[in-house]
Amino acid sequence: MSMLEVRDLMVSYGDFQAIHGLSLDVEEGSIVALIGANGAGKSTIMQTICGINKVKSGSIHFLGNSIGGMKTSKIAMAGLTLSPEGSHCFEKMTVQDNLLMGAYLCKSNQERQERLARIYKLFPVLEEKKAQMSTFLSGGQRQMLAIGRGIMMQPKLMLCDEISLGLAPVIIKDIYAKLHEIAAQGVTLMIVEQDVTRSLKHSDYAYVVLEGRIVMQGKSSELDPDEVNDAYFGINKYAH
Amino acid sequence: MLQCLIQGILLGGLYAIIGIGMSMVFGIMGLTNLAHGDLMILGTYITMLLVSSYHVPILLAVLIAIIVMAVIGFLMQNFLVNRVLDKGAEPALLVTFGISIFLSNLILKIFSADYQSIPNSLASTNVVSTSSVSVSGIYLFSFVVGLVVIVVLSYVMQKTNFGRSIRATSNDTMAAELMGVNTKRAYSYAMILAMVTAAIAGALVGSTFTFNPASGTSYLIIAFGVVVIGGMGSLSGTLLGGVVLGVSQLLGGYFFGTGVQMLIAYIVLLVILAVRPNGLLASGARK
Repeated sequence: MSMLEVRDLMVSYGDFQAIHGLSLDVEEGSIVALIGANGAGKSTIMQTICGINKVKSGSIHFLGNSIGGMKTSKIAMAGLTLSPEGSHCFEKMTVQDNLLMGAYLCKSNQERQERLARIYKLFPVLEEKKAQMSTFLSGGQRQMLAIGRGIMMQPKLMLCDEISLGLAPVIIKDIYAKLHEIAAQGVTLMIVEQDVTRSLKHSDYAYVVLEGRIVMQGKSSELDPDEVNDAYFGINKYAH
Repeated sequence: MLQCLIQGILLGGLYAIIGIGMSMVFGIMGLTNLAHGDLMILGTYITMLLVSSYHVPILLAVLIAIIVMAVIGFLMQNFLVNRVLDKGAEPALLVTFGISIFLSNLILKIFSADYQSIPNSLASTNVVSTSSVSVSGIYLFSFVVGLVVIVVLSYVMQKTNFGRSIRATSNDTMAAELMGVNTKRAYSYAMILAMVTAAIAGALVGSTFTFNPASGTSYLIIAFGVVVIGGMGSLSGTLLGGVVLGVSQLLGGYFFGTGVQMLIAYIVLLVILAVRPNGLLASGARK
């Protein structure tokens, strides 16, 4: 049984059908990539798994329990969280308060401070800027803050939506290195990426999404990058 | 004139507690609670009823009023307001307007239109009595309570996990939910806190001035003034706003006559709005 099982998922925004009967699995301890162009439906899938969008039909199971239709906060309590597209840091709060929010569900203040110390080790720049309002951080630092905040929850599965958007390559390299550190500590990850090479390089398994459907999937190391490209753009063999 | 200045500052403390509930609700959920004044007066009537008819000691009466108001706040938020909050600003505004009309008429029906007051010993005690200045006990007490309420609320909001979750909810509901915060419940807690302050304010108002069922509206306007001068969402701004309004009112009355004291206060409000539309200490325009 996979950690996350999505079956025949249908999602629509009003009359617009965004996701057409999509199924995917995320195995515990792996890094799974969702690859696709803008508008393919990757963020929709992520947000539906987290309960932000409504499931029109189909099922979502996390650790064997059905979470389709559950409230986002309840899903978070079950150990599933999202680093949303665009970070969504709490703007009128300091870096430290943002991180402490990640440990909202923690029972004791001491536990909260211990987790905070670990995040500061992982992202030293966040410790440097801990008293600053999150709006004063650079794009890359805000992304790190969003990821750090998610990790403060000690989730079992963390979804990362477009964490490289608008960032310089050297920053992206740093963030992905940190992601591997996080994965090594036992967090299962599902990442959404637009860059084909990068997504295949940093994941164990990949799904290519085109217009709300999975058009290709497989072990990242075994997928042919050129074929992934075709699937990504819906050309050649994948034209319809 | 010194008398007016000092009394104005102390009155400002009372005005601050009146306004703080309204500021919180607007700052946290973007709701302008038109029923705030009437809810506060409801608290006043509850306290008065307990003290005058049931001879409950005044502090216990206030405590009971606080509990009753907290429950009313929770029910109101959970069953009325939460349902319309995500449908835009107007439906929620109309709901609070409806609650305001309902409450003032309910109070009128139960208690009659007579002016009432909460009997207490502080109102007739002068704490300081020199040749130039005498300070009424209830004014000083209200100011101190106002200060304490604001300090405690600030601490809760800034330093506690609960306060953080409220601030996070007002910043970004989606992100807060992703952290495990039940945002609809967070709104209910915020409303409960606001109603607790309203109950305290109501008891103090009733002990200082006479009131009747229509007083809710007058105090709503004062609450608006306080919140707008100080800036929405700023706790210390509310204290400043209260003091500015109180001092403007009493100094205005001193120089121009008590008939126009409220007019002077509101002219000051308009001037401040013209110069700093977000209020003196606003935490930033709310989206």
